[in-house]
Amino acid sequence: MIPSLRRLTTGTYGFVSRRFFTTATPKDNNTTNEQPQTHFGFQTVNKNDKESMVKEVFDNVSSSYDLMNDVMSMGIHRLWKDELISTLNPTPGSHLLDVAGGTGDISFRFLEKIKQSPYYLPAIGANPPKNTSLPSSATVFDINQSMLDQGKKRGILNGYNETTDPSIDWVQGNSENLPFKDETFNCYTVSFGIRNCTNVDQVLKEAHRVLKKGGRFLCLEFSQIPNPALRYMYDTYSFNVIPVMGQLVVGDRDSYQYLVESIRKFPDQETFADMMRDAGFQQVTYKNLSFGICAIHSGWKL
Amino acid sequence: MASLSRRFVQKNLSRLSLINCGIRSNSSFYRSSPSLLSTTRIQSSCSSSSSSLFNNQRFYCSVNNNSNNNNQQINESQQQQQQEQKQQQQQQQEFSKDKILESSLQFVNLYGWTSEAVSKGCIEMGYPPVTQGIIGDNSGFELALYFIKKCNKELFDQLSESDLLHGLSKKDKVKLAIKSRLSMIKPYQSRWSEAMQLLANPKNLQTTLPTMQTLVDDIWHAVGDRSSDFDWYAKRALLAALYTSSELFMLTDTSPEHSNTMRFVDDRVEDLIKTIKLKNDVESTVSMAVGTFLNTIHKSK
Repeated sequence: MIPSLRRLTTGTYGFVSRRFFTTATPKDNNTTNEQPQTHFGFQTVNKNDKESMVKEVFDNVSSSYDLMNDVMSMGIHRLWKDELISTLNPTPGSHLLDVAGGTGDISFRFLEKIKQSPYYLPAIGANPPKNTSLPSSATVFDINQSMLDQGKKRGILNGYNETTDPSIDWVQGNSENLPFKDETFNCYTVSFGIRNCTNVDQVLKEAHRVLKKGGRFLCLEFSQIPNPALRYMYDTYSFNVIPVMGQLVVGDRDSYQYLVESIRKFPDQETFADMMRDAGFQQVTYKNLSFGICAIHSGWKL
Repeated sequence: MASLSRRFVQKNLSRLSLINCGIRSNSSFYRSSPSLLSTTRIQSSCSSSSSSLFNNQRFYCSVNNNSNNNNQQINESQQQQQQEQKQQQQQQQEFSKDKILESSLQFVNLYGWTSEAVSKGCIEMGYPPVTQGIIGDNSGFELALYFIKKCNKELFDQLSESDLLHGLSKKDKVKLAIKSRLSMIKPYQSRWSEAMQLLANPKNLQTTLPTMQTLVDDIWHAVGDRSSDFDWYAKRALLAALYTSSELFMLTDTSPEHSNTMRFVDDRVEDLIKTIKLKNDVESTVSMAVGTFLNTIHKSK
């Protein structure tokens, strides 16, 4: 298993993300130990460089990001995201911070779910009824402005903005340093984003900071499949098919090669649960989706 | 037995730490079931609760043997205050699912046994509405489960602590136990059908069946039944069926003070006792017949 993976990275796929080597090649890393290192796919890069590299990847794919998600996961990513929202089960009065929200997949589901609540009664018009439900909001937060712009267009088409009752807001920034006050939100979701962050521990700490007491942290992320046979099939599919599809659909092989590699580098279910506990979350649980291709981690700030 | 002894220990512990506990549970019982009990019974159990209070005070006195009477009283009050403070601190610090569920119960009549009721309960406790997810994926069911567990525990306390059952026949003991358990769901009668539906869902049966088992066990234990043969199963199964059917009867009962339900319970318990008697009669007849038969065979040899 391991030699075959190594062959994949060094042999056929040795040219992986070649343009990123200009900033830091593995050779340089061995000689200069001054800067802290991190992984970028299967490469080792300087921590300072990872952020801009990730940004570059998503700049490249933003225009056809949603289409590519459908193609790669054969539409199952919609079910995963639905599952995330049904796990959260938001009612009017929820304030969501959707980190790495990109085009707002999670946030729009969240808003729809709130509108479906039988007790949803927004204050509309000059004389709103007295027993209106609590206002709710979603804040999409992403490092990538072009993804947010894509989402904004979607928001306007769906009839959401900053002033509607379930309101939606778009903020650009780095998830390791959130521009929000302490205890602002009562739910924090990050879907398919946390593995692209440089300091995952720092992201978790920030999540803990901005959550209110009793708030919920939910993370939907690719994870490790426990079953070796299924894992082999999944690895074969993702290393051989997804980069090719990226080439065909978007015309960008490297970005999708990076996506596939970064999934393998992300810690497995238990390790990530431990990281959450270290950041201060309580009652940490996770559930596997599609045999463990994805996992939803849930934690509480109490 | 193990569960019983554990409960006994827990009960004693709680009695040591909380004087108010016994009073509160008893008073809530009277509020919920005024019609069941004749005045004499209320008086007798009142005196019993007050006597248990005295017992507790005696316990504190025995701890402070060295001090004078005046000091004793002061010490008592100080201890109580300290304990109350500690409890308050713990309440502030500790997050408790039971507290959320307890505060959710008041929203059941408005929102049903649903996650909405639980999220209202969360808001009531100062948490955001999404905190209801901590109760579980199916928080409506968890709320109903919490409620029946709580009722079972209350019933157990009532049956074991007070002198309610003293001097009653077995039949009357069973009747009284079932009636007082039924009276606990009166406040939620309009929504109880939803809870029954949740609890009887095959998906949830695995968790709800043991609660029925505890209820039936507690009642038979309080009645003083010590059967250990096949009777044990028969009695429990019969009582469980009886209790469930009375619950169902109560759902559509609009008579004042649920008098129809109470009559229904009376009649069914009579039937239950009759059935058990019939079974015993048949058993003894058959065993006698078999015995005679065997004897004749033996003699003919």
